[in-house]
Amino acid sequence: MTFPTDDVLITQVRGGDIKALETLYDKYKLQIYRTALAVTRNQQAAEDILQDTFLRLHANVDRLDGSVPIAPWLHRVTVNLSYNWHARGRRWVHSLEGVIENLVSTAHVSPERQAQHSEIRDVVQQAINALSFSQRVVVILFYLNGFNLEEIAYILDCPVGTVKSRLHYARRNLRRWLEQEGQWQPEVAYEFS
Amino acid sequence: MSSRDRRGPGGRWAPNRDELDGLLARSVRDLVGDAKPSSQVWQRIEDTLRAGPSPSRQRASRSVWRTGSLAQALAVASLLVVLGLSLGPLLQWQAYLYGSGEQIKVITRTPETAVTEESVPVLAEEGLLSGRELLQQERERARERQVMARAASPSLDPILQHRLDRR
Repeated sequence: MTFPTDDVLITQVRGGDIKALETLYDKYKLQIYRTALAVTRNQQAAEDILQDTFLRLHANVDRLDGSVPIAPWLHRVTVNLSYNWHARGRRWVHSLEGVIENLVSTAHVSPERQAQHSEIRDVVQQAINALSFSQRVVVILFYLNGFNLEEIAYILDCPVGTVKSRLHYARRNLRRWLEQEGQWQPEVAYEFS
Repeated sequence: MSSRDRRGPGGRWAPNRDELDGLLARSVRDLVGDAKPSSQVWQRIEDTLRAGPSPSRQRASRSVWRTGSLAQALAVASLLVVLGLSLGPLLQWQAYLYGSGEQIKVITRTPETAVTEESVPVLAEEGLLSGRELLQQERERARERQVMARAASPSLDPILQHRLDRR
């Protein structure tokens, strides 16, 4: 599906065109929803955050620069709303394992590979869960959304060095967790550069 | 053989650096899988937008309201100033029409003469002079009282007699 450019759509939204906003929604809803879901691990919260993100887009459309990609701005709002949700203490309401089991498709994986895959995946996901909020957000933005360090710095409104530091410590914590779980060998320790 | 199948000497899985990145990327993607939001989300957004002004519009209207209230405040202040300026003559008219009653005295301004007297500094010499005059006047009054008390002839005003004597 091809979409008009963000610049054109934003101009149309400024003119009161809700259809253009719907096109932007269709273009970015999966990214935003999955980011919110990865951070909050709560489907209802992720849907609420998705809704609020696009309401804020509509509210602040006059201030947006249509010449630059809108995805980082949307993720900035998403992360802020996720942080608010997290700070309100509604985290961990739903079992992560239950959510994952509902989401992950395993139709094309053999039972043996599926079991192995599931074992490693579960351990890594437990390790990701054990990260602090700030480290987890950096990992999600880096590995799920593929943002570079500068974009993550913009999204989190912090220096690039802070992003590097968070990513470094997140990886170190993940490595330690995997070592404890017997899924990692210390000699392959990796430093983020 | 897939990298995921590789095992180390102790039976442990031994990924390299790229595999760690790949593992993390896969795990994070698995965290959300192919999850999709329900179609009701857009419906809620649309309903919210159609139900009323958006937050920006609300902010804009609030901004206009704030500007309006500022203008209202300025207008009221100007009106009060104008009323205040016109209040003095109005009260003077009231005093003219209704006389100098107790209420009028309360709300009318202090007479300028009193302000003038207070505002003019009294020099030390002037103060001494007025003191002397007061003392002299007091002595004269005392003398007049004595003369009046000793007046023998009721036909002549004792005070007039006293003044004639002084001359």
